[in-house]
Amino acid sequence: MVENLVECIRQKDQRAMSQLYQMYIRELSSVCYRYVPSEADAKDVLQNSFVKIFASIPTLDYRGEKAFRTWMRKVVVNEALHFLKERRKLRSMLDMRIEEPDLEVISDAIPSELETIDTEQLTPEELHHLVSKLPDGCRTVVNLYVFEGYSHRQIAELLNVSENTSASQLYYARQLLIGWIKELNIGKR
Amino acid sequence: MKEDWTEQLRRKLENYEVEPPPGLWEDICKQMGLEPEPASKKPVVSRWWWAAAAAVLALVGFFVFYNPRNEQPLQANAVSQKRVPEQPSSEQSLVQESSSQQSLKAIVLRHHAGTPVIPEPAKKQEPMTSRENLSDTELNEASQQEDPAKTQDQNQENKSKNQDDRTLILPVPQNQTPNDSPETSSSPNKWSVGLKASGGLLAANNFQRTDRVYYALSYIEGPDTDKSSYDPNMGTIGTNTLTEYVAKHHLPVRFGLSLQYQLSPRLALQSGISYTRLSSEFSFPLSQNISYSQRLHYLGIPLGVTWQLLTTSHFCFYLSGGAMVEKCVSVSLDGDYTGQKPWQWSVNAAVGAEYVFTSLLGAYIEPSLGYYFSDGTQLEHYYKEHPLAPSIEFGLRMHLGR
Repeated sequence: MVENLVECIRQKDQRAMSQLYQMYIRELSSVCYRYVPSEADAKDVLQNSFVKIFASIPTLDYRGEKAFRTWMRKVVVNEALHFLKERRKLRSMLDMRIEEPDLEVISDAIPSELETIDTEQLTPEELHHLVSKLPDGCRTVVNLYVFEGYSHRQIAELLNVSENTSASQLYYARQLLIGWIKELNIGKR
Repeated sequence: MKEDWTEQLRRKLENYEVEPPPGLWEDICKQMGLEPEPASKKPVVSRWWWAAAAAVLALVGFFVFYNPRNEQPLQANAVSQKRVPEQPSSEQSLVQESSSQQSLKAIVLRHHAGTPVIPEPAKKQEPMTSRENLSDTELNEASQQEDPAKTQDQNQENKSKNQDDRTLILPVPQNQTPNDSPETSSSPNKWSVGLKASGGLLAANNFQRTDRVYYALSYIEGPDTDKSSYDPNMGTIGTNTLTEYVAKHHLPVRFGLSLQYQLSPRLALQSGISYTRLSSEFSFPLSQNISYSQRLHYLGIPLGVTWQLLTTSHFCFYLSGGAMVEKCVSVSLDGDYTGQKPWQWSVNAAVGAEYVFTSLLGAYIEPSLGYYFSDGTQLEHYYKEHPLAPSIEFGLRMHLGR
């Protein structure tokens, strides 16, 4: 079990490290690519993440498989956020306030508040691609809000922005995704 | 309250997986100063396998070269200078085989010096008397009775050939004398060697139960997910997280070599060596593509007694009970991981039936019920799921000394 792997990694067992990597790398790569779509950047983030994971395991208080998996995801997410902050990409993107005219530019027919996203006809791969296409700022908010379960208040504190900025970025992401999914569904027909 | 679209995204992508960037593991190894390729050799396991092979060879070799019913070495009886009357019908060789009920068997080869020994097929002689047990006088008298006319000539001939003739007596495989006590001559075979295989029986009775899917749930109190718990370097552990996994334990498979020593006509002591493999598959429903297999390999030594209930001409029914200690020699997860190697203790009771093909060979089947004690580790396997496990064992037994 994973607990055995963790115990062996504490004893510097390299095969256990390899096994743990093989078990989780695909899932963690998916998480990482959602934050950092570039392959080269994602590789740096994942590399730093695993180095920290392996370095932290000896002092880790193991509390079950799910908790351990969640912890590894958090390490990757934090590394991705750190990477984006370092590159000053995130801050600059978040500083670009989303104005109404921008939405008009991106779509001739602005989605209404009642319009919903229908992802039923999309494959996970297509949806992952669309999320990766989002601009860095709103993509980060979508990731934190949708996949990590943070509130706007938590996101605002984590990214050092206002709650309104977080909410508007999420709204912006929604509008973009509705438009792209419509186009994709039309193309499929 | 979140919008529905966020739930759609989360549900659709939470288990989505992609291939990692190429060369990532190599770069991680390089940064951490590790070997890029994990060591594939498992010298510890190899040593165990060699030790097991050596033990099996030692057991087989012991019974090939040592006859427990014949305390004297073969060489001591191999050559004897007994004088045996020459059979008119066979100048070069004489093969005698007694048909006594004590399985007394001997091949007496008589040949002239310089003449190759060519054993002939066994011939039926006097049913209740073996020639090698008779004195020279008795043999001469017997010869005279058989052919009085030739007696004198044969005696002369025997005397003249005495220096050249040599009689080989080869006990096959045991040799008894008339002085053997009745108890000894009527005792059953002392030693038996068997090849056996066994498997769990629980699945045969209730497949759903053995290979059933079960969920292990454990609720874990974690730190609150407020800002203070966010460590940019460590991440956080969620609150009230749920651990769910599916474990499928396959039936155990066991092979072994058994050794049985008859303490009395009914009671026998048995031991041997066994190999057991326990296979399990684990998967995590929350992460659809995460699954792995576990293989546990054990070498064990059983020790027990059997009690014969009923013996017929072709069948033998018995009860047996005993204990076994097994050492896990290898724990493999997808063949690349060696973890804890616990000891496994167990006790078992069985009823058995053996069909005797010949006096030397029998086939047996033993339904048994075993109780497997906890090995004190976190490893999950079939015997953790079924501590009280029925199984069925079958195999062949070779009875030495008959």
